[in-house]
Amino acid sequence: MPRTILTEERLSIRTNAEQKAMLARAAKASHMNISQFVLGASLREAESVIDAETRIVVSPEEYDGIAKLMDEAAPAPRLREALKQKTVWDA
Amino acid sequence: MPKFTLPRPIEVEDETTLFDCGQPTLNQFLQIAIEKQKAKLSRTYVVFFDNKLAGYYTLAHIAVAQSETPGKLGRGMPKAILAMLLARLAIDKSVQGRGLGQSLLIDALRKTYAVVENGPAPIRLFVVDAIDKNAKKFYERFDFIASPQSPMRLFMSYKTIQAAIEEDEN
Repeated sequence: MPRTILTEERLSIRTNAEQKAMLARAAKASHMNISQFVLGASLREAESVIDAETRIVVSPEEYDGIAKLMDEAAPAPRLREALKQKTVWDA
Repeated sequence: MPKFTLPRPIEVEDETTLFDCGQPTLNQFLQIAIEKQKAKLSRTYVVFFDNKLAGYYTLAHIAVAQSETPGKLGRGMPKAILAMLLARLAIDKSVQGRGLGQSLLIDALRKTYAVVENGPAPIRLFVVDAIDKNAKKFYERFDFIASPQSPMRLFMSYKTIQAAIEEDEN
């Protein structure tokens, strides 16, 4: 089933003739109009920026260490002590 | 006698330019904290003392993912652990040494507990990024465990936090 994408919002971008010509060329080569091309490329970039901020990538060794740590509650006596104390805004 | 206010999410009107914790990157972050909050990338909580920004911390939902290992393909879905990241915690120089850091850390842990217990947030880990050796020592004083592979990153199992908070409530 073809997906209907509602495009209700408008985004206008200022550009110079050279940049616009380049985008038009690239869009044509990708069989898209400029709008589709710019939106697709910028969404991919946006996704990778957000991804970089919301992911920590660790080695398999580190991952296994973390996974082991996560399975059980540690005694954490100093954390328990700190929880009992009044916060500075309650004092 | 001025008092510390309760931590609350940062607002556009908050005066943030005078804040100085001694770490330029942590001072500068306040200028973009609102934008990050609007983009739902992180949430920054602020505390005031004598009408001046005294301290803040920033929480973000993250995934801890395993890097791809060449030659070990076909092991199914890439693994990831959902975690809460305490990305930043900073105290203004004028109020350092009064226990605000500990209070903010405890508040961050209690907020994380509330998020997990009151909604579908399958968080299994609390992660802290320490900005320097002193910060690292600070977190170790609360039983955070440094990663052997990335020494400025510390971890605590969510189960540890849950058990400690529930014991405290009883």
